[in-house]
Amino acid sequence: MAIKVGLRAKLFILSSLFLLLPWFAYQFVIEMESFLKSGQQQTLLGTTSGIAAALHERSSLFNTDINNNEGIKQGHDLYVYNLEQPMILDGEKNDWQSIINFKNHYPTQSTALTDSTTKGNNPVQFEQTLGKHNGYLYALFEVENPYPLIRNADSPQLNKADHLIIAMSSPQGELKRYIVSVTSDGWFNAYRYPENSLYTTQRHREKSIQGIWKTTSTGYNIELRFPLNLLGNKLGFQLNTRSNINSNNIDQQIMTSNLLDVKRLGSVLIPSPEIKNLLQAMSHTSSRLWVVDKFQRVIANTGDIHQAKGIWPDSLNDIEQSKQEDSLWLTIQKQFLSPIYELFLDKPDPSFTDIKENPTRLNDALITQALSGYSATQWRSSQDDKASILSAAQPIFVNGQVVGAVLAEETNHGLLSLRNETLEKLFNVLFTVLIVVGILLFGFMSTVVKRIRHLRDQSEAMLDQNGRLTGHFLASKQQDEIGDLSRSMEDMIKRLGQYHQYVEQLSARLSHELRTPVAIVRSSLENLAALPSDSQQQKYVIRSQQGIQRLNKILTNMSEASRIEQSLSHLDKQNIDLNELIKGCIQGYQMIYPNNVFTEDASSTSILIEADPDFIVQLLDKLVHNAVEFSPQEQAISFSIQVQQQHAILNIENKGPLLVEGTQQDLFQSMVSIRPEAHQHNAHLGLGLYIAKMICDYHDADLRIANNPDLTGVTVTITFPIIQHKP
Amino acid sequence: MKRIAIIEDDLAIRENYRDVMIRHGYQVDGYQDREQAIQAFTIQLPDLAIIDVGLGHEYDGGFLLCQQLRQLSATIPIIFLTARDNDFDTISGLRLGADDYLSKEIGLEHLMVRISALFRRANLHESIPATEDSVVVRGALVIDNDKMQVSWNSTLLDVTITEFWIIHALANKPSMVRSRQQLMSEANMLVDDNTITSHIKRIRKKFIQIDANFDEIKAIYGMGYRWDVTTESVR
Repeated sequence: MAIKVGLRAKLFILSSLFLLLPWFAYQFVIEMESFLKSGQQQTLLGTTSGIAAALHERSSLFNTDINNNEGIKQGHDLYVYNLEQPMILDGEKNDWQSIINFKNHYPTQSTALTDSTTKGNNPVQFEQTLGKHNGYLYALFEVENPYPLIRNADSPQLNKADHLIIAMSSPQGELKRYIVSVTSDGWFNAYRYPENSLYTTQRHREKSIQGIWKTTSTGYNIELRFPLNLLGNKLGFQLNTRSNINSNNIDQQIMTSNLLDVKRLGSVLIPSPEIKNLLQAMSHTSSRLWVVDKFQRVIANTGDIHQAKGIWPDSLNDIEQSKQEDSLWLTIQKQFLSPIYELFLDKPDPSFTDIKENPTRLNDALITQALSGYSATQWRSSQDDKASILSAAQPIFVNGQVVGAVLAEETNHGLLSLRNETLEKLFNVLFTVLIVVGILLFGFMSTVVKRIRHLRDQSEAMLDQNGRLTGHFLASKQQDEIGDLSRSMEDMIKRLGQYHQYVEQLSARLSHELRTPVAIVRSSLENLAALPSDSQQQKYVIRSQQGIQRLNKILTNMSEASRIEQSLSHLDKQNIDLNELIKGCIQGYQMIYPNNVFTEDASSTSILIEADPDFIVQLLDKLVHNAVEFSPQEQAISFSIQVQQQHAILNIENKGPLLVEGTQQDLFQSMVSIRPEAHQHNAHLGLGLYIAKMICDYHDADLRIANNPDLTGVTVTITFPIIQHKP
Repeated sequence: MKRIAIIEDDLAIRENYRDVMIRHGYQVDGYQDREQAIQAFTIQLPDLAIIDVGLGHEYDGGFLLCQQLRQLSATIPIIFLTARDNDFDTISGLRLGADDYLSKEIGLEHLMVRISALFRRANLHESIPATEDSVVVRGALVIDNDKMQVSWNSTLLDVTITEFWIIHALANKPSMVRSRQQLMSEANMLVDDNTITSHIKRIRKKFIQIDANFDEIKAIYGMGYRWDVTTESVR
């Protein structure tokens, strides 16, 4: 089945190609985005290299003397967290909340101080937390010791009860050791630990180390502090307690590292306030910055990743939007466009989370690469995959050695916002243009289609069923191709009409033109006949006169059609009873054609039609004349009238030769006669049915001629509109 | 001797007609265009004029001539004899005051009958009252055969010779259907059915102008026409 595709549909399909424009725009912006991404990478790398430049060759900021290749171990090497709040020494852990998660756990150690074979039945363990605030290092020990051994107030030996040994390297690198041993809960000062534990009775109180010992339900808490200037870069703790609840021997020790040897003492890292200050000065770069030492421990960090959108300018829309809150365009954008854009644009989601598992050590591949001396960048997703984060790392050199690295991180949110904003603006413009252009094109096409349709309807209405021209063609005044077409069609129809008229009036003109010469011949013959002549001459004169008479009849017939048409133009219509008229006519025909039989199948009803009876009679005359000519003499010519709704249908049927299929409508044309040779005895010009058709047309009646259903003859059917029907 | 003027641009027809008329004992003057004819008419009027409508280059020269001739004389019989036989021209010609409008198809004998009838009518116009024999009365209709006049309700009808013959043929035998063929031969012409229909229509109109209720001429469909007397006799 052929699908009819109109011009409008075709245009619609073609113009849908314009929808590729937004796609191209999208691709372009995406391409642009990847450019900008690499630009952002370079910028971030520049940031890190700037910070690194500020940190190069400042050995004082980095612990350059820790050089063990073993790296660092959790618990063995200590990290001092920054405490934001002022601390109260009270043995409680409430003010440690901010860093309580970073405490180190030290389980019961099997190694006994003495070579005791008895297995200890006093499992002791403790948790230690380190922080600094305002130039002091704070330490909290939560000791789980169900059977603590507290020194008697009068016992001189500090190491004969539960005690804590603090070992550190001084800023000069010497090993310093202190001991905390109390006789009861409450304030204490540490004592310097003598060279040998045997001299523990000699007490040298170290007042700068002070703290609180507090007994708890499971053991005791020790909270202490000492000024940071005591501390070098190594620190260790050791808790000594009894292993057997039945003995009073202090033979169980739990230590963070070996306190006896300064080289084996665990290192301590205190985040450098200087570097932090430096970073904070750099934090205007709107990146999250980290500085790590060569063990990937965080020395300093600053910035919030949620604010780190990169260097892109903030959306300009914020300003514009505040200006025109209620504008229509904004409403449209909010109501309709934004939801569409959100379907395919990644919106920056500020709710992402990206928390480092261990904020003291950054051990990702990027840092490793930086620590091996090369700068590096990478894109990665945030932990919850909601944001893409760009990281750049740059090594820091001191004396040609990598001592640390700077890490900067930014989200792609700035870029994303910029891209989305660009795309939205682009789409807004594109869609507006597309809609406007679409509407214009559609409107234009509609008028074109409308005009073409109008032209088609007009040209279809020009010709009636029989191919006769009806009415006038009104040409378009538009000065374009369709207008041209319309005008040339008008011209064509005009010329066709002229030709048509010429053909239709040909017989009338011909008869008119012939009439004068015929009159000459005729009058001459009549004059000749009046002259005295012999019988021989007379014979030819009479023959000539017969011939001229026939010629005259032909001429009369030829002009009859045009004369009837003229009379038809001032038609005198009146209400007549079709039934009665036909009955009268049949009587007349029976008299005129006595050799033929006329039958009538009509009810005695009155069927009123509006018509000029003279013309209807002429119409019937023509049809009956035809029927008589074709009908064999013994066969009846039957009339029948039926009423169907508002129409009276008159059938005149005669037996006889059939019509050739396809010629029915041609018969109504002027001067078309389709008769078998046998019937061409008389002057037949084929005007009879043409006149009949003409009369029917003037009476709004429909005339058809066809072979009858059983193919024994021909039926002429006339359908009149009736005005009244009385049974 | 009656003088007939024939105005016809075709020499052969003019001469042929002339010959016939001369043979019938008329004096005939032939003119080929309007100027010649009108010049001659201003000097002396003919007794009857036969005019062709198309005269040379003048398409309606005959009509113009008829108008001018009528101005010269209100009573002179004028016959249009033309090849233009459509209704429009017929009506135009008769309106201009012509006594008859004939097609060139008409036979010469028929033409001569008409001419003599016209002369008869013209001669008897102002003469003695009609004799009883020559008058036919059918209700309100009175036909004077001598003067070739028709009156309805004592009002004289202005009819052409053809119309007179048709009325006479119908009314002479009232209540009898006359077919178109019969009417044609009575009216001394050979035309098509439609022309008869046109004549009947014009006759009806002329009666209706006098009497709006005139309904004496009945069309018998398929056969012809019939004169029905429905009115009281005027005499």
